[in-house]
Amino acid sequence: MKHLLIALALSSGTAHAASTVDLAVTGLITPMACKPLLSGGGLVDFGKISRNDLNLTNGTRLPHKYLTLTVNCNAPGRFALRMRDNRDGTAHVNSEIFYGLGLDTSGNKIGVYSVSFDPRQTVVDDLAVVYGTESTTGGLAWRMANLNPIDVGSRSLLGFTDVVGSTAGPSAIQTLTSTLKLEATINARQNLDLSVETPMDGSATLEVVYL
Amino acid sequence: MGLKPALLSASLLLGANAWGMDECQLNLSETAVDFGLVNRAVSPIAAAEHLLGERRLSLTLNCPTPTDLSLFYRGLAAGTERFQFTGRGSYSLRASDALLDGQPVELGLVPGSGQPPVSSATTLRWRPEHGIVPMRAGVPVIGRSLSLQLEVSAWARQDALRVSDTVTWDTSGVVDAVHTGRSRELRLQARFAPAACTPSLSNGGTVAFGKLSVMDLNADKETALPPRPLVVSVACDAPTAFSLRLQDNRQGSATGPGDDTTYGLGLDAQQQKIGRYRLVFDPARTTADSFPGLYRTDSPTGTAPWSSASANPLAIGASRFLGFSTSAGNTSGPVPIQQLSTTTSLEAVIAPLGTLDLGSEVRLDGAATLELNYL
Amino acid sequence: MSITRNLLVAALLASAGHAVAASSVDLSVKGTITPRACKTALSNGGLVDFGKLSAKDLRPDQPTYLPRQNLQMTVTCDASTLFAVALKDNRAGSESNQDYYNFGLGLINGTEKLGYFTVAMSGPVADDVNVRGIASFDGGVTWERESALVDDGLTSFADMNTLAPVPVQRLVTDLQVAGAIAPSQGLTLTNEVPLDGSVTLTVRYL
Repeated sequence: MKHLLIALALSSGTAHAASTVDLAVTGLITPMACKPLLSGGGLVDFGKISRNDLNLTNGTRLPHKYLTLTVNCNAPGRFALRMRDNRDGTAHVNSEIFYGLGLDTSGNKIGVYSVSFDPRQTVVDDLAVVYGTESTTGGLAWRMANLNPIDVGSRSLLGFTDVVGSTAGPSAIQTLTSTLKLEATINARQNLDLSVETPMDGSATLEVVYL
Repeated sequence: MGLKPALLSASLLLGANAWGMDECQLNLSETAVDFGLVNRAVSPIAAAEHLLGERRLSLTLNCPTPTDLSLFYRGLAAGTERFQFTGRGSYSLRASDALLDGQPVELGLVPGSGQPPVSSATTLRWRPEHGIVPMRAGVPVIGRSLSLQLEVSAWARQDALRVSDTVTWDTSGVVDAVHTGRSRELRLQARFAPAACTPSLSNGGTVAFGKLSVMDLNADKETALPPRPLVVSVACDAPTAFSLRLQDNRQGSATGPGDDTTYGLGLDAQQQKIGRYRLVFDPARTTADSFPGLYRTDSPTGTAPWSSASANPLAIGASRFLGFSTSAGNTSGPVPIQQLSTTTSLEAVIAPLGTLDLGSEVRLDGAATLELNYL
Repeated sequence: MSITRNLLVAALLASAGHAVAASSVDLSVKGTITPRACKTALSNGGLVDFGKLSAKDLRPDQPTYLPRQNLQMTVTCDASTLFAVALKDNRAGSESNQDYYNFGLGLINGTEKLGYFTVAMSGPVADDVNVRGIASFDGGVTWERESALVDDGLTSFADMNTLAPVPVQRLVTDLQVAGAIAPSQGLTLTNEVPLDGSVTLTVRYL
């Protein structure tokens, strides 16, 4: 007695459900409005520098330049500051506090500059003293406020509060005036092609972030 | 004195006549061979077939009297050497270590019952339509007990591994000891599961625009917000072809001409539309496995026909399934990918402030679901 | 490819209405690194020595003018260059007579201004061509005729009858250094007092 040949392929289906993940877009329109202004139209000009005046193997620090920032808000409110580099990728030292000065004729990075805020050189409303604070978490957490100068960055938020040691971030401010220090360093001459007139071209946008 | 043995043998003979061929016993140590869940997460070598595994079982055939212990295996042939394991796979049987009445024997391969063997060896591939018979010195021998080892190997075609639902292969054949009337069914099984892919979004899937000042938004026309990057990642346990689409959970709240690729940002206190956004995918900002170049392709249904693969950015839609291909102009759809990472651009537009009720809180509230579909 | 992309983005923004972005302000950092290099040189190591003066020879109620001393200044560049010379008074605030071209001679007892000196150019020649001195007090935007080397400003060289700096490879000029001692009745001259004027010349590239 021979058995029948059986060859089966059964599809037992556990339907393969599509995998999903959710996207959320959040934001809030606020009536708060703060207008920042920089002295001198925000232009810092180092004039013409001879390449012979640049160090061959080390960077050359240029003289410090100062600017005044004023921020006027339509009402007291909490805000922070951040600066975006419009020449991103051209800073020869990589850090969020270093901003690029563009590239030379052969594509080398010309140099960097940084802008620092000094709480001692900052006047807020009618306060006698203000303290500086920073957040690297987009405003979720702030470090203890103190009088140390702070370099503005492209990702971290910078703010001021009237409470020394506070970790609550900026306090409500209506007007702010601060003297900023700009420090620029040119790349070592041996890293650059300075055979032609080489413009330094730094461009950044300082923005108010409403909290 | 001489009479007694004769009497004995007479009684023995009587006993032998009482035994029938039904008294032979055929046993397999396993009657079902399970190759288990086939693991697809192996290096994608371009082999035509994938070895599912090898299993061993032993066979014993015992008869009361010396008998022709030839064995045939009845199963659908897949060629001359193997048997069918569904239409997309095959298996083979190898017999070895044969013992006849306790003594090692060779095995001969016979094309039919009673026919002369075409080959013989101690280890033999049991071919379809052929039987195996114990042999000694090139001659088939009979005996009372035969034991041997069977090694079952199974293969699946490479394309059989790619399934979108769980699939079970179930096939059987019959071991037939033709001269004893005994037979045993041997069952083979294997399971295939689809690869699992997990999509994820950077920053927990939240694009936070924070607080937007009215001073920075236009009163009498729309305001485009700076585009925000959003990294879409897909991790699969093995290269898998898939497509993505985005479903709007704020349907009907998008401003502008109704378009499959625009998504709503919710409504203000007066039920007015706050704005809209799109999610733009860019092959130039995409990496997948170690492919040197990627192109995007899309389909309104998630199945063929697929658009000609292009290097240009494209916004995803609810009816615009997006996938990635590795050759420009290709229309076969998405290729199997194990790890994908693409930086998309979320472009949001806020309605003119004049159309919104600014007396109450105006909260941007976009919500969408990114769906991954297996192909 | 990026150009096309930027145009596309611009078109999208234009139709939507570009973000007003009044909550931000732009900062520009400009400058130029020039391959040009110039060197300044002064004859006699830049030292002007008025010698010894007797206190009783000084006028008590008027300045006492000192005899002119001469120096030569040379500015040599590696190629024709637009440049100016900037002078920095290292004794700033010590000049007894404030003027844009007066430099200090130091203080007696930390308070008494000893006098002042001036440096005037005579017959500057640029690449064998006669030029004239010009000065700017706004960083080189506007220039006026000026033959003295000015303090807190820039001194450059123009063609005769013009006021715009011309590119120069080699400039040679005589410098006439004139000094004056302040009225002696206001000075404590019981001890020897050195005339201590010091000015630093720097090339500024225009």
